[in-house]
Amino acid sequence: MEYKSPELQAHIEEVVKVSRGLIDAIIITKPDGTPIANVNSIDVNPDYLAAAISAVSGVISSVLEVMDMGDFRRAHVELKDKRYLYVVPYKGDYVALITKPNPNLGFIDLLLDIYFKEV
Amino acid sequence: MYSFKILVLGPFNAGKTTLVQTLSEISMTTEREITRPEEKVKKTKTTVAMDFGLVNLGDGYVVRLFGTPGQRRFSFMWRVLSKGIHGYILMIDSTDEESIMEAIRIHESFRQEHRDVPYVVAANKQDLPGAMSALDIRLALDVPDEVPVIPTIATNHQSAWTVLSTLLELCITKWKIVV
Repeated sequence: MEYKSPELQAHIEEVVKVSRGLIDAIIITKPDGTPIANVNSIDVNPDYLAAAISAVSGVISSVLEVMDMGDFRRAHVELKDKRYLYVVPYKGDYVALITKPNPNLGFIDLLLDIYFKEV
Repeated sequence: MYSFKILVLGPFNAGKTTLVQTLSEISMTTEREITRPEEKVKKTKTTVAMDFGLVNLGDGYVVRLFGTPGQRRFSFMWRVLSKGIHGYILMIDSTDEESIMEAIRIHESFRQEHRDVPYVVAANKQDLPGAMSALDIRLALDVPDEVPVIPTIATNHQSAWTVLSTLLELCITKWKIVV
């Protein structure tokens, strides 16, 4: 069964286009791990990637909730090969992107601010 | 202080989160709204990473309960959460034949990496009409005679405690824990 959002698919394709090749994969997932948009140049099943992102986001949110600190705005993880994984809450869903190694982090932050600003 | 680590495993909608919450003094869950229509017909929220609960047994003994998500897309969490477990509870929705078949598949896969770990089967939802008996579930799962299959109502503390205490006894024997 398809759960895709054509609007969000077009949106993330635009992000990849303007990213000057800095993004390896980008996915938007529902909080229950259902992928709704996906651009992916690496060999990862989007269903598993979306589930993993929702699990990571769920744990971060729950820990913050236990500490009564509200929800998170952005999470990023530096990988051993100098790529970065970003997770950003966006309109009730989660956006996750994986960069190429040694990306321009300022530019990635700018892209996220412009394209995934919470309303 | 001695800490038992117990995993609660089983298919979607088997009652894992309920069991953890019923037993625990302190609990945390990562439940989120369900999107997929085929899952939404069964309930509105689902665990996406883990449930956690703490049970204080007294005299310095505690149980840390870790509940897994039930859907196969979250199967990577089994490995994450199962590190260092003393035992596990296989939860089954006794009213749902499809769920029992899924439990068999989950268990076959999980057991391959945890052959020596003690476990019990909790045949949940025994208070609902159409629930299969513990004996029928034992036959369906083909579990060895030494593995308890326990009729369970996860919303009931006494029933949930029977499941956990039975497993703890197996763990104490298996791992030679002095109490």
